[in-house]
Amino acid sequence: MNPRSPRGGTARDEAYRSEAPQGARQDQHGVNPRSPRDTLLSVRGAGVRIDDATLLSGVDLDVRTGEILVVVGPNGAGKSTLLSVLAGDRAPDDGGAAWEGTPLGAVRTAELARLRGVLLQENRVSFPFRVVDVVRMGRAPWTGTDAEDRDEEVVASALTAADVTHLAARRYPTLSGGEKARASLARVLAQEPRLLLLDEPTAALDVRHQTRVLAQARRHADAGGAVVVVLHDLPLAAAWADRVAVLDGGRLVADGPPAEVLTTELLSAAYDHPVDVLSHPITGGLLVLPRHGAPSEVTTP
Amino acid sequence: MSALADGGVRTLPPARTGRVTVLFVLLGTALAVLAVVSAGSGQLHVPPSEVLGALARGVGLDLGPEPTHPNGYAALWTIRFPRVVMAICVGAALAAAGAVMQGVFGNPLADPGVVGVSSGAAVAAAATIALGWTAVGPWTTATAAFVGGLVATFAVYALARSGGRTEVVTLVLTGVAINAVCGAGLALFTFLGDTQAREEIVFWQLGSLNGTRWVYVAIVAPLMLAGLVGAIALARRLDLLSLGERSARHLGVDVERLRIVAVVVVALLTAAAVAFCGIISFVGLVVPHLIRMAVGPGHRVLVPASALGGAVLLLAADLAARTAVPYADLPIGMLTALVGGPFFLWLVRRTRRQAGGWA
Repeated sequence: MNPRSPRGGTARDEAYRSEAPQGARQDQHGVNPRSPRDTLLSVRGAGVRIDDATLLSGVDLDVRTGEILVVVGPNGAGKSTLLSVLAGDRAPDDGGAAWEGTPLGAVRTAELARLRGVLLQENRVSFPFRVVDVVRMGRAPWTGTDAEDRDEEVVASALTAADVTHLAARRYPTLSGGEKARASLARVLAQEPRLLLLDEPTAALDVRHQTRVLAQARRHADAGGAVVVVLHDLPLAAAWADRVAVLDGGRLVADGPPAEVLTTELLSAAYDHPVDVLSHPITGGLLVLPRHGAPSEVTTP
Repeated sequence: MSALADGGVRTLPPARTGRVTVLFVLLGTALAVLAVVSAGSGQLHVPPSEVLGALARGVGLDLGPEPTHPNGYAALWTIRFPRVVMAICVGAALAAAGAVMQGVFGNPLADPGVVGVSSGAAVAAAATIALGWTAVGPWTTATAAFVGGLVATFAVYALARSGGRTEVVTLVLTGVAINAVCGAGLALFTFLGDTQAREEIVFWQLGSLNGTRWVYVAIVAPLMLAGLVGAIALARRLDLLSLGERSARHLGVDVERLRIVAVVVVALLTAAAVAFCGIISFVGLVVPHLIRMAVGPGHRVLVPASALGGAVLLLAADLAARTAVPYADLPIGMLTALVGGPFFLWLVRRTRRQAGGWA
């Protein structure tokens, strides 16, 4: 999708490719001694209204360490609104969100920046900063702490993880859409938060980088962090999620392991479009296939 | 808690390049040379060595040659030196204010004038001139300009806020409205005043460093320094703000507080510059732009470098204003706008081509 981006096949890429998502997920379903599941962030009865429109209503959701929570749902279902509640950007009109028991509103902005990092759908930079400078900005929350000493090391790792090291000296506004998304991901990774909130991180990316981003999310969860990803791509959600939350019309209609939640009935109803869920003939994993073709040819099962 | 792969520390492009040092050295040298040349130029010519000699004697050192002209020493210390220092202060204040304003707006085309400082100051100054107020004696006009600028800035800011937030577009458009109202006020006072007042208002608007005295410098310099220190303290957060308000907040920046402090800093810097010297345009727009092209947009370098560059630019402009036409002191505001306008247009086209747009 981005012919300008030079790509070098390295040993690191092999490592990423060998990380078959299905296998990774199945590892997770076994007992994983590295990451006991603690609840980091919990949302209770969250409701958000703007004027007469209800964007979110009665949502209960826990975000736990060691797992990737994927949020799916049709356009306008409230996914981004939920993410802004989780990020502490928006105090819900009803209910509330709490970080390990402390209401999000009571956590100081500077402290919150060390707890959660947010990758927004759209990432713009007002001035022509270099990519490396943008990623260095991710270290801002750690200024004045002991972690500051590791700044350069962390920035280098983040650039590598998002595969933008070769772009480090480029000016951000000159990057393509996918490169911008990766550079911004690198900034969020450099922030080293416990919770990663990613709003459609794969939307602008090619297949290889989609896999890399989600593998990075997997790594973060395995290291004891927590990840919430909003995805439109249902096959990706099925492949990488430990837990899937389905939003529809501002309500949480399902929350559980992909195998339980991602069903033909539930998805077809939520998206108002026929979606088939099959078993992969080779890996045995979930295969989510929206039906394509003219509306007359696809019928709701 | 690091889930990042150990990529091994590669050599990253450094945060601060060698160009920064070169830039500061160049600007510093230019400032020193221009200051000496400017102090020696004019109707009474004093060679650079004698300027330095007079400067040394003034601070109690017996170094260098004394000015040979009988009035040389007095002319330098009572007329030229305060004017040179004032040019440095005003240029630094205007350029630093421009850099901060552009950072807050996230738009390299923003300008302190947009927020209404200049027009607010102008209308208040015009009122004192036209109505003959003399509450604070000879400093009434300057005081009024300062207060007017601050009031206008806060009025724009208060009106542009909605639900605890300030959108950039709303802020700019409110600034346009305030500027229009202030323009009307200015027209009214120009109409009300007698011939002498009219002339005074017109010349104040044109901007000039003519007649600068040490007492004025003593007021402007501390304000400029305070504003500059504030601006440098905001620099890192202004960098983060360029990621957008939400992302800046996610990185721990209290965006609302940052905006308020930045607006106060800008008002302080611009009003201090405008108070005694009238309206001098384009310095705040052009200088940060040039600096950004030379060393990149990072505010920790941009703010102090802009201040230095603004001082150099205004010193040069004032020298030209005094010497371009014999026995005439051209309005410096006219000069900066005349040169700055076309230059800025060229800048816009060039930067747009090279950096791929503003957004």
